[in-house]
Amino acid sequence: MGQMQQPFTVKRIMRDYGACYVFILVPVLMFLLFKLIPVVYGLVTSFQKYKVMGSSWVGLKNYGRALTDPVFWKAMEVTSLFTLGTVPVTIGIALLLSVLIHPLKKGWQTFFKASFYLPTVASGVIITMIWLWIFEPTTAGLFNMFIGLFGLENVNWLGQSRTALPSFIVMTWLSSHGSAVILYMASLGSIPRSLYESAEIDGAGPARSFRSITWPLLKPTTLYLLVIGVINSFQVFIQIYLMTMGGPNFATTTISFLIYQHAFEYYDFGLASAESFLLAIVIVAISIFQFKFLSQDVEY
Amino acid sequence: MFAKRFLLCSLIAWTAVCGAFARGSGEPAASAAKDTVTIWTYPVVNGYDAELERLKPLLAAKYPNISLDIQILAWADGAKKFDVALNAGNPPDIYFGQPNSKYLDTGLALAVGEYLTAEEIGDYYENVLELCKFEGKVYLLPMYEFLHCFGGNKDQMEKAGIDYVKIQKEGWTWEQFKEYAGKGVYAKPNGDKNYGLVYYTQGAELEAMLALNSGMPQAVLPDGTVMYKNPNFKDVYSFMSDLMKTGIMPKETAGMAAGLRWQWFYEDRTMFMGKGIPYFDKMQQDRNAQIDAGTIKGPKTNFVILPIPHKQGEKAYSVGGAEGYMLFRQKKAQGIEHYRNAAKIAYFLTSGTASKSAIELCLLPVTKSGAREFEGKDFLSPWNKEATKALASIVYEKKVISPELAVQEAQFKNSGWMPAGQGVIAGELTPDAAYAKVVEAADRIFKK
Repeated sequence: MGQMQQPFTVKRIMRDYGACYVFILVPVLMFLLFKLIPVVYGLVTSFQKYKVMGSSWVGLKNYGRALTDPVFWKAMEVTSLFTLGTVPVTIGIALLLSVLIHPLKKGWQTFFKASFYLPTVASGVIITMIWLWIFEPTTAGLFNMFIGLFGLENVNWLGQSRTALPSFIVMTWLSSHGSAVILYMASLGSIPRSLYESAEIDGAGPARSFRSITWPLLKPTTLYLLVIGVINSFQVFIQIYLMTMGGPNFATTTISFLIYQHAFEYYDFGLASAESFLLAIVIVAISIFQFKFLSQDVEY
Repeated sequence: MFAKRFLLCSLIAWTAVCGAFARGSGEPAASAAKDTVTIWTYPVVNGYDAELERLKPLLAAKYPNISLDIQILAWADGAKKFDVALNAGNPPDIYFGQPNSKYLDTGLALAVGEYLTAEEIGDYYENVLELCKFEGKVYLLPMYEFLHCFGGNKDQMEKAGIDYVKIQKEGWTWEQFKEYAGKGVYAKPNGDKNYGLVYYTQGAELEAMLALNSGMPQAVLPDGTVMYKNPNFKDVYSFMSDLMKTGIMPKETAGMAAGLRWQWFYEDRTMFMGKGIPYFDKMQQDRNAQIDAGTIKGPKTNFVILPIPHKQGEKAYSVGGAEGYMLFRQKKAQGIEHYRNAAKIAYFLTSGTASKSAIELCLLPVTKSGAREFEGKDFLSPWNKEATKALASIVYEKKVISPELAVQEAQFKNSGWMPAGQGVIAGELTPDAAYAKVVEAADRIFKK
């Protein structure tokens, strides 16, 4: 005779799983307090004209104002250009670096991984201050010192529309691939060595091995980095705030900076919230597109 | 029975009469109950933290029941911290800054003048107090009236034969300025370029200064008229464009930071600089003393305060305004006695002995008690004393606009004339194209 099953009661659940609930209580509370509730509050604010002493309901007016504001579309354009210019290149740089580091001995691997990851853990403010020096418009700036060696005149990198955004893109290329290198290194380490040995026996060279073995097996990691990279690049803010304040002439006005301006310079929290949710919709749409069309032959 | 009722009514009436007389007989007394007043301020002048420590025991002696919770914010991010606190409904009781309509719009800004006596309010000079009023009520107790002008390198001007005393007295037009500044454009023996004007352009103050001195003293008037739509604003951009094309301003001007402007002035690489404030005179004196003492190396320069050049035929103005302490309530009201206590503290921090900060900034005291306390004391060089007083007398008193217009004015600046000016400085926009952008932005923003 089998044992009778005990009824599925609250008392039984707490007895069997009570400790688990206690352990997850803190992160759940943190999520509720610092993520979910602020997001819901922001959504409600996006339909209001926010005032400290009492907001008023305005419906979709804030969304309408955002969508008819030419500065909003300019910010979307700048953000999109920034994303297109940074995400594929930083992934490419990270992949190249990982492929070069992977064959090295453990000690050297650790050294290079740590070196490339260091900017990720350093304060964004500190890194931005250093880049301000690098981009300084006088001959004292590092880039201008370098081009001065070739007899070229110093350039006002952040003071001209045609060079300001490209400067930010170059800055991102050189400082934002640390975590991608770590992830690629982990993925490369998980590819069975026997696959490369079989390919070698069949006469495949390094390029063919990379194309037929490495690249397909790295696709899940690449897809993840692509999705996360797009999400992060659409939210770029610190560098813009500290280096150019969105100028010159909107050349570096990203959507996050515009949201900040509307909230904290104009006190228009309703409009800023509406723009935040429009940004969220765009990011979700791009992510869905990426998962739907770029993950077709990804195997896990 | 009737006697008892009569006695009771008499007692009530007598108490009411005594209360009315008590209320009108003297100052609204600061409450004797224990109270804590929070203050958010900035390093207003070098060593302001030490100055506050000096004032604390004086305050404690005068108001023993009031304790202070003082936070000195950083200039870089203090305003943002305050914005967040204000919009969360929890600002400090007293905050240092300039009067701003958007604070009023939150409903948390208090008319500090209503919590002081007539004698205390009367201590402030009326012309400065006017800068602190909105709809006739005082919302800020000024610590000083700031003064923004142009600055000059005295030695370079003398070598070029430019009479700075005459300029300080009579002012100068845009054409005169270009002529004089042009004399500052040359190559130095060590290969460095010397410039006519080095201006700190972040913040778009150059456009605002030039517009002020070309018949457009403010971007928007209280009736909603957008002054910067006036075709004269195109001339502002044309003037700026000329300064760039003739090399008077360096090509690094777009995005010029305050530190770089100062560095070039210290290195004797510019004849004029902007913006110029009287305190730069003291800073330069201190630097020259350090050079004499051998603690730092570099050329000695002397700072001359100069008026902003004005367009031919237009009135000359200086940029000025009041900065000081404002009073705020929190979303959860704390009661009139608390606000009176906070107002008393704010008054103390801006008058009498506390006027030391204004004197150290080489500015005129804004209270009569401060003027008495520091009579004859100032740090200005002899050639700047009279000029500073004269320039302070031509400060334009900005007409106060409503909170809604103030927000639109800020949007007009950030998405209209400031980026257009950046385009002109960078050589990417012609004055005509820049002016067209300004008109388009004005039509878009102010039609709402």
